[in-house]
Amino acid sequence: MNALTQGDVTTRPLSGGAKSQRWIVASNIATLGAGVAGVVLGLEGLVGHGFAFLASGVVPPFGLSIRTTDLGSFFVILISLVATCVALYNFGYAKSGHLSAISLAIFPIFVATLEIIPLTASIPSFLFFWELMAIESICLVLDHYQRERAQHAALLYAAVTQLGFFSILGFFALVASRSHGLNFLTLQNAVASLSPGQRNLAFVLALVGFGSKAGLVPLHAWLPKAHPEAPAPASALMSTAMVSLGIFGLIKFVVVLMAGGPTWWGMLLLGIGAISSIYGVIESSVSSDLKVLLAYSTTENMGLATLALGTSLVMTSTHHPNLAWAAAVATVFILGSHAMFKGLAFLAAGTVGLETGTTDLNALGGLTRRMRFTSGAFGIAALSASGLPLGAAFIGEWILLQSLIHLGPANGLVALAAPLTIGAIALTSGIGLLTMVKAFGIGFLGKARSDLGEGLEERFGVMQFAMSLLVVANLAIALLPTAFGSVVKRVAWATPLHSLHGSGQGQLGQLTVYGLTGSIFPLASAVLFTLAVLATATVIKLRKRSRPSDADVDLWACGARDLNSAMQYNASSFAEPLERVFADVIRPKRDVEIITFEESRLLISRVELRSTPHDSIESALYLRVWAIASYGGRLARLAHNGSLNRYLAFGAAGLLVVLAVLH
Amino acid sequence: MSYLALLIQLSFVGLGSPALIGMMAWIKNRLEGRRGASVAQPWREIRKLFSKQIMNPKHTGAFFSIGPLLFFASTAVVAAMIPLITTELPLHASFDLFWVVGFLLIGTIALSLAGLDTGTSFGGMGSSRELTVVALLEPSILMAIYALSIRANSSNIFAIANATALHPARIASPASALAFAALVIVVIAEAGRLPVDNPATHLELTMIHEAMVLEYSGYRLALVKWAAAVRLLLLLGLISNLFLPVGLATTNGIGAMAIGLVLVAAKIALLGSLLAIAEVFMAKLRLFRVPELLGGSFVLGLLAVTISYYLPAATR
Repeated sequence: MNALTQGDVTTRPLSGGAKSQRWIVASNIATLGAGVAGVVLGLEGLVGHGFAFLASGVVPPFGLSIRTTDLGSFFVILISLVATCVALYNFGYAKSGHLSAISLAIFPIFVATLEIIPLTASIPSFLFFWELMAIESICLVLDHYQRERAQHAALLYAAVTQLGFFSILGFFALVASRSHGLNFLTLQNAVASLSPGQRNLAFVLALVGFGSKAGLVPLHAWLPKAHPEAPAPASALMSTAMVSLGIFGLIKFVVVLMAGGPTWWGMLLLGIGAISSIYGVIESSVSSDLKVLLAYSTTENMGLATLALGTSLVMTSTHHPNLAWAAAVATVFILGSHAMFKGLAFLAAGTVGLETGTTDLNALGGLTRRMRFTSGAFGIAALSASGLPLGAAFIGEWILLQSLIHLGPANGLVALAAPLTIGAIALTSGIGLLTMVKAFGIGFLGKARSDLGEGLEERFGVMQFAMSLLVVANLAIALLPTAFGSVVKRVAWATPLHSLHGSGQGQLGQLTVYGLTGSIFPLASAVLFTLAVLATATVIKLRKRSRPSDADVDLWACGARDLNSAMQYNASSFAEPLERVFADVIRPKRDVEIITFEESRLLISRVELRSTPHDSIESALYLRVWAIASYGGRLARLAHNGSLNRYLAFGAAGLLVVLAVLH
Repeated sequence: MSYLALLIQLSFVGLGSPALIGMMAWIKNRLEGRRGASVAQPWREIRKLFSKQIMNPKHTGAFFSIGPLLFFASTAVVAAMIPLITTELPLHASFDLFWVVGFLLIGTIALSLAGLDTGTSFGGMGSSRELTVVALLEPSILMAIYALSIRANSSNIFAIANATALHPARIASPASALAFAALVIVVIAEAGRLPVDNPATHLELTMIHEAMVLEYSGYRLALVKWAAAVRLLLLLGLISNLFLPVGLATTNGIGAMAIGLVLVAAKIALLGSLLAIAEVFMAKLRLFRVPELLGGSFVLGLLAVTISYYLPAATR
């Protein structure tokens, strides 16, 4: 096996020795236990009786307050399903020595933290675990802490996540200002007495705080930096479970706790969701590293979820309860399917990295022969992510489209917003299609683009088993979405006009949205498609006798010989036409230098192409903020000249200001 | 009875599509001053290819071999989902326009992946260009569907066709005209006709679809050619029955279906001839000018939608 460590001497993997093997097994069993326990607890909360308790010793001095809600339990199930698969996957992944001791120690606690957050029922409990989650995930990003890029990514991530944390802190301070308790239930009653201005400010703070966790534009830049640095199973958890908690926060605190707001709240969410999804997918389509591509795709999908959430809020405030309900259902489906296909994609990318030592698409290719299971798994993940029929993401998008096209005669901003939203969804799914074809087609098909080492043929081990569980989950969502109907119904926060009884379910697998006309029947189409493939293949096979036997020939090369693998399209050239079309958005940094012979300017000796991947929003916004902050820092330094008298004077002035304000 | 209708529709599509291609080629040849081959020529070619030897290029992957199969099968499934002759097809309540258009894309994607699996620059070039067009086409498609679905308050194809059949006055409305123009551009791009792609080119650096399928031979090429013909027929049939569902049977009576069959064949032949005539006077657009055309289609769709919202119900 061509291990990552060959090219990367700075890694200190935990390998060799019975002691470390025991350590690995203990960590994975603990993670697995946390995952399974999460599934059980989530199911108890969702279909069982639920539970609530206060553990006074845990988060002193307030105590850990837990209460199951349908929404929270759904997220717990989502997180723990991914966590269970990741834990199983780790049995294989950690054995090859690619997880540091710190990561191994953090995995089980990280999973447990993620599972507790949706169940917390008071401000201190929530904030404690929210911050714990941030610290743990920073440690996971620093798995290869000696690498400079990892340090940079962790620093950026820490800065963004702390900005988010302060924002959330501010939100809670505002919301709790009229409340007598810190419990969410008490809070809910107190929120009504806030003034509109306070409510609007609280909404914006929540949007910044939770949006940064969900990786929404412009607070997305940490995602594509952190994911390539974190180990693949950690990326799988962070990119599914952790970012989903950002959307959970928006739903829980903006929609449930504050009970929605004026139309512009929904419009703002819709706008930010649309920008995030389009920007995320464009950046994703031009990325040439598999993990960066998947990270940007996370921004895209969280953008879509936010867009659906915003649609739901807009429909509520414009009195379309059935449409608000449909959009809420769509949000739940988008989050659920994203967790399943993105988890699968990251795990498959991890296997590729393990086997070939790289996730750079420009070096990969020709993996289908060598890694059958992983290629198949990534293929399913790509199909699900691309928003094609028979893929999991289509279901959520279709329901969202249904919600929008049933708007009917409307006026004002909504009548213009609905078609533009559909345009945004369509552009996202169109470019998403290209992105996923690129990820699968360049990464796995064709010929290898570099020397990837001689690998043994892949065998079905525990890692492949973990991936196949996620494959099943993806296919289940895509083909039998109705099986999740009763769960989604309880989780979606909006309530349709009439009660839910008698909502036509049709035949098994036929999906209709309550109160709206139209349905799709994925299972029937899948069966028809399979039958059509089999029938065509059979006819061709039967006629085999009547034609001459096949002959092997060379590929067409316009008369040239010796086609080599560098002549294939690669990740950069595949997306080049799109990159040109969207050059204004992504501002590619690319230099082409043509070096000619000295004797004649017309004879070219070499062409050099240098392309620097960068994030245009990061370059435009973050660097400016950074420059302003440094300037402020330099100004502040002028005041600190080391004179004790001056510092005493500052102290006295501060005290006077405080006294003046308090009186 | 609805299964009989399905059988008739599938046979019509399967047998009629090569004739459609042949007719369009004949018209173009005539207008360009040549005699033109018989209308049945594509039909003969496909038959011939089915019994020819497969030239298997070295080092191609498994996806290369199954690509044409998936392309053909997905097209066949779509052929069972579109109201061409009658609205009473099996399972018609579930044939949503978003779903059907998406299903057509499955075939496109299968061919693109097959192109990448050859490991040559031609295959990659074709699939990269095809997907760039698809990515930018998607907003126009969805906007056109949106514009159509407003009339029927549903995106089900059969509901849209029925709504137009019930209110023939709406055919000649501003919204309908705009949506029609938008959808025509979509169909041209989706079927790979001029000015987006030129199906007559072979071994030119401008080609899109032909670049992806360059390495195919024998029955694989036959499947690709046949399915491409079927897709053109389906798209023309779709556009004619969504905007002018004259003759579309609403029952499964033999007589009604016979009328439906004749009329839909006539409408498709008319649209095909118009397309062929227009293509004679047109050159292919540069690839980087195509986004402008597609952007135009998107704007037309957007206008159709907003007109539907702002004009009173009687006129839209």
